[in-house]
Amino acid sequence: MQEPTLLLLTALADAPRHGYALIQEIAAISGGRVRMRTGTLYGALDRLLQQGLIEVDREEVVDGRARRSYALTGAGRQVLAAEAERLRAVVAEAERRMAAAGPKTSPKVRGAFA
Amino acid sequence: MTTRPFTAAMRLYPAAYRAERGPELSTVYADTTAGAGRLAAARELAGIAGYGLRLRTGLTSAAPGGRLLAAAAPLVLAAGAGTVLPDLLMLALENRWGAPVPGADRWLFLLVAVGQLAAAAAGLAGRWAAARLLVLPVVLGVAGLACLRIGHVMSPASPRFGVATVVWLGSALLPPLIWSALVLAAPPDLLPRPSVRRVLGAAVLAAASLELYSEFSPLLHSGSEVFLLPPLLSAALIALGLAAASRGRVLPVAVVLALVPAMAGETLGQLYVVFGYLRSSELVLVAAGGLAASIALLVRRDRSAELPPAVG
Repeated sequence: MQEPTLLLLTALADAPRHGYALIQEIAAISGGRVRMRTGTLYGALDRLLQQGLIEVDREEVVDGRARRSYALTGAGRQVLAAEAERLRAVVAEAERRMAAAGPKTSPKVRGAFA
Repeated sequence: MTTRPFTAAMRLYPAAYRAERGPELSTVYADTTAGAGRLAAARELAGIAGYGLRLRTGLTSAAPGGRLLAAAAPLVLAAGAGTVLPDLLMLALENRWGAPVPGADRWLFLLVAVGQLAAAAAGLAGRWAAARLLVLPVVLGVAGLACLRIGHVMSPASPRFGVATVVWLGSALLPPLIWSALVLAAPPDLLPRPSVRRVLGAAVLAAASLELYSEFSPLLHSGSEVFLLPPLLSAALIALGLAAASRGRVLPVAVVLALVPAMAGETLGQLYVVFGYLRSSELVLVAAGGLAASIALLVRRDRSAELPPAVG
């Protein structure tokens, strides 16, 4: 799963959100590292809608501005849970191996390959 | 609140999508650009306009063509790096050997080559925003080269301007232009994460691209008798790509797509050498048309092929 998809599904995991709230939530989840642009966000939203992983929760007009909120579907929740489990397993394995190697490894790792 | 630039960007969207999602996009655009600088607003607008073009061309991440471009993006970068590496080496070697100061076109070639190499490094490290931004110097370099070369062929001292001249121009300018288009056309929400396996694969393709299509290729530049190898090799690769596309296999098609810029340049260059001097330029046009048609067929076949609906 690509990072924008993972961040988007994670941002919707606890509550439905509209477009701008998703952009803010993704920035918060990634610690400010990922700032998703509107065009990229809607490309991902349309794809996830097509795949049945998210759905439109509600449409409303607030102060004359159109808002559409999106929510995870059951299938989206399953996919996110499976990805979280996969990541958890990788993290556990990484920690186990680092612990087995002892404290001699260099802490100056600047990037990681997924 | 909609601005004129936003309204203009929304005109790029299909009417039905614009009617359904336009007000929502307008709200998000207003929120994201509130208090932002001009540059940030321009980048936001460029992203919105880009998505409109994707919807128009069927190259969104939800469509097979867009998924193919996203999968091919690291390979496109790698193949580009492989073919431009000799330009950098030639410049360095010429200076060391005390050759005359390179002309403006050589510096523009250098700009294009450095842009492509830097974009490859950024993209393969997962810095896709930087990689896409680095397309800008490449396009500027190509535009500069086009101006210089067109100025050259239009001067009274140059030979008669003909189809062969256009092919000569195309062989130099088309590869970086196609490369830029492929990099920018890949949907940003589906670009792959960096991985050791992907970097190794990209390195192999860069080496293959250098070996097959660059100025340093010992295979294809060892004698006049092998002048037709690049077009024949390209035709064979495109045929393989078509066969893979009909079976719904993504990776072989992505590899062929990544080599298309180099194929176009080298094939046109070789055909110019063969036919340009014989004043049979029409043959060159036919060959170029055939190559373009094959590529179009490749993309079309791939769109119709059943690609796995992977969760990206």
